[in-house]
Amino acid sequence: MAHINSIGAGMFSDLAVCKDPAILAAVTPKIANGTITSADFYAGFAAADFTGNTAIRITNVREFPAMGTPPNVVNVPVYGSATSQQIQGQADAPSMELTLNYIPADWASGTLLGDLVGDGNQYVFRFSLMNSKPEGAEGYASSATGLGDVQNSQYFWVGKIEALQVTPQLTDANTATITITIQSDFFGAYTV
Amino acid sequence: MGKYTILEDNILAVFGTPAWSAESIKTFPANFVAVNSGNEFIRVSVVPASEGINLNSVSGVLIIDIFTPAGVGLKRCSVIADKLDSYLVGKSLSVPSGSLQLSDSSLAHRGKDADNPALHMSSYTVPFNYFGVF
Repeated sequence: MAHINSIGAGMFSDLAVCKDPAILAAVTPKIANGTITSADFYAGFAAADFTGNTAIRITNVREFPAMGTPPNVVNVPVYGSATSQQIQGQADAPSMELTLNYIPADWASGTLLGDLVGDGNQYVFRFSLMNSKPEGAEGYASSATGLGDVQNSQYFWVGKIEALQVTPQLTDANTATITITIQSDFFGAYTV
Repeated sequence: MGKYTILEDNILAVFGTPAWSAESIKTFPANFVAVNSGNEFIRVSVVPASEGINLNSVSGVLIIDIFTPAGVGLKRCSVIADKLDSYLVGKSLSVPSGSLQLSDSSLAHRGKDADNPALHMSSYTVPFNYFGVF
């Protein structure tokens, strides 16, 4: 398909994590030397990875944060000028907090996602911006018959799931906040 | 073509597809004089009554009145509403000069139809946003 080419709500946006250490080992040096490509990331989110449990969707997201690294704009005084100038300084590494409609069974100890929380390991994450539900044969895979079934924009990064905080709700759905720290730049937007 | 015409045409087009026709549920647009409508049919009204995010956009609600025989319970009405969900909820329709998105639905049972007490009427509603571009 292609990138989304119209205004719209990202109702079917998706977050997934690849826990395959081979993929992390493959992308890390390429990130370091600047040769990383979209295909390197797609390799961790193929249809077989989702069925083989090396790639897992983080479902029931209630609210996404802003995706990307926030700028650190520094004002620089300029002698003799009525206005200062601005430069882009070194940005602070962002952390990312997602609010979920919490299903304890998905995040219990011993489950695919539950074991990722606070284990100290880096994983490859994928955020997919989508306005429509992908209904291709390969579901949420980064392939032509997966996410490519609909217009999509994909972003990748390396990070860790640091914490999971549960907020019990007395009259609404229980929620949880997961905190992801970012260990690399953001890469994208790519599309399949 | 203006945004209201685009809305009307593209939403009603959903009910002109072979897939919907195969459901065998008689479908009429609002303000249409139906002949031999029978004791089970739906009436589709597009109500673009709210402002959009820019001058070329509009939001509103799609109201579908579901008519089923009175006195036989609500099951059939719920079945029809579920069918409508599968065609409408969460769908993004690619339309000229923008996009049309439909979100989550709701269903309200209104009781016996005032014009024909042999029928029971329920209102199925889906909010929509039409995003137009300049």
